[in-house]
Amino acid sequence: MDHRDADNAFTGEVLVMSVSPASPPPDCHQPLYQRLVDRDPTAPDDFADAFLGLLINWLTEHNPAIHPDLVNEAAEEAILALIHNPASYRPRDSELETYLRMSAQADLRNLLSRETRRRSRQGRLEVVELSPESGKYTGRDDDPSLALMIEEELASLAESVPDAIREGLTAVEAQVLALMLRRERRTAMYAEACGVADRPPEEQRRLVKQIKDRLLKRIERQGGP
Amino acid sequence: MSTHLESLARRVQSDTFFLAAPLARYAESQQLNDEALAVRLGCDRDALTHLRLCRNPDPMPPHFWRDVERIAARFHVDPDQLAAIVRFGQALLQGQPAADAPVNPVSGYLMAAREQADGEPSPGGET
Repeated sequence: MDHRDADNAFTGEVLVMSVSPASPPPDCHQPLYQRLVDRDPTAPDDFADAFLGLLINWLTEHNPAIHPDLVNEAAEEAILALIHNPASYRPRDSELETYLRMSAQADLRNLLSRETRRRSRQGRLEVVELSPESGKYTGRDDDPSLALMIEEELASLAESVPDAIREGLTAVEAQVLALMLRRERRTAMYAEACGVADRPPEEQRRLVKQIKDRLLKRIERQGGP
Repeated sequence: MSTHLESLARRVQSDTFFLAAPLARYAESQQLNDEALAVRLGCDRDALTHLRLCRNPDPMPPHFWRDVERIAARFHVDPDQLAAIVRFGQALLQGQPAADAPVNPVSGYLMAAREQADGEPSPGGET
């Protein structure tokens, strides 16, 4: 994955780039980095040994709601990217560890985005939103960024619905689509549109989910995005 | 040994940038598990993880032998044995007939490679 993906890089995130106490001093990094540049065959191992654990710890500390598997993968991505292409780091611009942290954080965002996209296209978004098992895929259910990403993905899907499909929508589906297009996130608004606002909250969520799922499946079946 | 490092070493087994790739192909062809591969290389499992994360030696002489010697010295393995295994694995990765690739540590190409690294001629030696 390209961690330099501008669409996913650091939006809305405040990153703390301090050097952790466990890190080797910055002047130790330069010779190691130079060995990568010089194609020393043992340098990749030393580099991974020096930074992988540190990076995983830092990502975990700064992304406590994200599942460890994704954190590990993001750290690995950042390490491998630099090993493959040492020139991507410019020593004059930043400390090596700082660069790796930024890179890994961007990779983590990309991984989350990719996972969300994959799941939304399978029409199983509510499983992520509601299931207590969602953590094993994308993060814990209290991750504030997850619901936002899901809604963004839904809106993105809805935006490219062909006219032919729009014309075949029921009145309720059309209203739900309109809400999705304006990136409405409140279940209450959907419940109102669906005529189920008088039901208990859990039932509202379930019914709204059914309508959203049906709408998305219909879009996919009829050649939508 | 860090489990994170082991995980990364497993991940790069299909990445030909890393020594893990030819080692994996060699082990697969010889039906060796990690333990057996480590024995074949003359190292323990921890060293095998580190070996996997090394750069795959440049196949062109004299770089190949220089890279192999460097790796072998670092992890205290026999350079001839390492070279033979890596060459075999590299041949498999390139789709060359593996059965013809030498696995004997004293095979001719290693001597040729060393002669070239020392600046001596290597008539008919490996390319």
